[in-house]
Amino acid sequence: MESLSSFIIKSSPERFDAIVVGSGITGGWAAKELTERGLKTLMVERGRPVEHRVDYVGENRDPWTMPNRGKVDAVVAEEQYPVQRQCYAFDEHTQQFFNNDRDMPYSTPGGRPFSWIRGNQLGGKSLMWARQSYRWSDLDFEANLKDGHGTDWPIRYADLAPWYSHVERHAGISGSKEGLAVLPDGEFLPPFEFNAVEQALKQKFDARYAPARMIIGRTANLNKASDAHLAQGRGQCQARSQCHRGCSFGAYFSTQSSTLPPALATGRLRIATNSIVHSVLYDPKTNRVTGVRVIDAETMETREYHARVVMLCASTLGSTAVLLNSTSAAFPTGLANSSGVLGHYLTDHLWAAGADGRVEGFEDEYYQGRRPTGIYVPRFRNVVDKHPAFVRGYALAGGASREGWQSAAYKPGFGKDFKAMIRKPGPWRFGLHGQGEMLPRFENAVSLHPAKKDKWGMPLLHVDVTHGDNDRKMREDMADTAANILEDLGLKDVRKSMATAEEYPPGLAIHEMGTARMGRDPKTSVLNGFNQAHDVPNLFVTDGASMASGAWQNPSLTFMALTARACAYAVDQMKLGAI
Amino acid sequence: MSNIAKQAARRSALLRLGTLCGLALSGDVLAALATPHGAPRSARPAPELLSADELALTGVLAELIIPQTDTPGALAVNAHHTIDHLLKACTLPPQQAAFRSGLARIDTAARQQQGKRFAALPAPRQTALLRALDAGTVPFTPEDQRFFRQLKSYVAFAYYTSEAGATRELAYLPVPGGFTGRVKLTSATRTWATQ
Repeated sequence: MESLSSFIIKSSPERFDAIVVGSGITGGWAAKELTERGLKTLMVERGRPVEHRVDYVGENRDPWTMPNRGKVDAVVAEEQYPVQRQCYAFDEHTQQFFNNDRDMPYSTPGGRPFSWIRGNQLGGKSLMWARQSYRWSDLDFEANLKDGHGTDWPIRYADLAPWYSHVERHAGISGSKEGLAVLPDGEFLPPFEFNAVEQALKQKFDARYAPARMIIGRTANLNKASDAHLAQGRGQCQARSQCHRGCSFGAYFSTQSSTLPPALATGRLRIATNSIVHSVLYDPKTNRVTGVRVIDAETMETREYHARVVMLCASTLGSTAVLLNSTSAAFPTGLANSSGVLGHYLTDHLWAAGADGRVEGFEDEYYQGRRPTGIYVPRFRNVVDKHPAFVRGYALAGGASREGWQSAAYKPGFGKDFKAMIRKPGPWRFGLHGQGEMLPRFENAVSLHPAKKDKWGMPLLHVDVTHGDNDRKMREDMADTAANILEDLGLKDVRKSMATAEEYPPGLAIHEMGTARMGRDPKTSVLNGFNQAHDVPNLFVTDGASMASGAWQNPSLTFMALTARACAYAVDQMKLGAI
Repeated sequence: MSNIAKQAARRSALLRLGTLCGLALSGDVLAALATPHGAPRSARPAPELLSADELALTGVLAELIIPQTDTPGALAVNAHHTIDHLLKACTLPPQQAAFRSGLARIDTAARQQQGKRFAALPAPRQTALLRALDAGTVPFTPEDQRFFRQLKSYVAFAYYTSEAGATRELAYLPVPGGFTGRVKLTSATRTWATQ
């Protein structure tokens, strides 16, 4: 394939068929789907180009070859990455994929922090995402209607099921078929294996807690590459578990490994990098968007790109920020905001609550390789029986492993015996931690700061989010239940853990969703059931901003399916002459 | 072979030689090996944060925590230089000050109890003091014990992320090729260097 640079443009007089803003998980999918359906498409990315393999500078580096053995320079972290450093995947190997907080500030109210983890480069956060890939079910799509929090989703599982299949086949999801109603099966590659302790605990758990079940985490890693994946230029997962450094095997799904190659192969994709979208251009005479205005990240110059359709895939808060900044006489509070809900109903996932403990026995059991997923207990709360304290539910995720040198410091001793002890695998540990649904609430909202601007003159996003009563009660149950399960399964020294509010600010689950939600009623939602703006028919938002609720599963697979479905719809509408 | 690797190999060879000759490598010998004094600049970089004495003491402590056995010890992989570098690069002044005051308390205790700085004590005396430090007993405090845990975690990090620590002492598989959930542990099995 030609190098990436031959597809990159700066200015263009051309009127494209479609503009896709953003190049992460949804932007990549939009580019693939639109170009494969014949549209000349421009992908607009605010960050720098990142070329598959070539720019994975942290990959294939042994720890002793890294200047700081994988640790980030303390002053650099404090001054330039005070937010990004909170992310588990941020280290010396991956620092280049994270947003520089000093250059790209945002605003929060005093005492109400929000951690916004961003990857502003070609590929976005698809380069360092956690890859867990789960379908939603009607339990999730019907939740708003049934308990009255949020507005009803305009779609149901049946609308999305074929699109889940579509994206799973291409992306490559490893997992096991389980036949669970709360977590529909997909088009899976063979699952990763359990280790001996997980297998034993699963047997106990499944017998005691049926219909709840412990399964292997479904992940966008090619545990066994199919012919279709090999044809994409991707190879089998090598179990390095260093995915977020970039993977030259293309063994996990990213824009670079999976959606960009087929989009580029059509010859219909062009990419504008270092292009910060200032606003979407709107023509009140036709009630259509006509393109985007961008600021060049390097030169500060302003330019415009034009197209028949605009797809916002700029991340949940990125897309909403663009809409809020696209004001006109027709839309004084933000494009497509006749409902007044743009910016509202922001959710994240509830987490940092669970338990772990020691597992006796299994001394002669070990494992080989670093599995890029864990074990998973799909939601069991409020599925059949109603919990007295809260609505909705959570999954538990975790895994078993043997202690290594990392815990050595906490053990007594030193010298030869200490060294000999560490040479042998330590005791087994097993943990379960929750990931739960946060309720959509109007007051959890983003807006544009009235005065503060960044170095490109863009108003700062002001993010005001707190956890509510239901959220707090659910987290307590996550920790209590995880600890009870571990005791029940026979673990020793069970320790319950629950991070304080300061230790886990909203945002840090990196599952921010909502703020331009889908809905049936244009008066209470921004987008219809095809991610199309109620107010402006050739404007689509297909990323996490469109979510009417957050469910409990990792959301990226749903973003992919929504995007592919919206693209197919948009192309059909264009062919019909409707947009 | 880089200068640093040569130094490490030479130090490791010296230590092996010492062991073979039945020499008890006491603190001062270790300190001499660890100290940057008297070595060409290019071969032994000057410490970035610690004083020469602090660096030498760190080296002595590191070797006592993870000694030379059938594989290199902490000193042979320059764990003390790694720690010095990581303190300078990856911690902020409060942590740096805490580390130095932790070292100073060890020397103070050695002087009070034995009349000599820690590095100058014979090996059995050093070991006895470290036992008290590890347990947080007299002449040490629980705070000193916490420092020792932190020191052990620094030494473990510096050692097991070094090439010898990862590949010779432990088992290192940069590209496992796939994941196998169950492998039987044998007498030859070693802990994976990376999790």
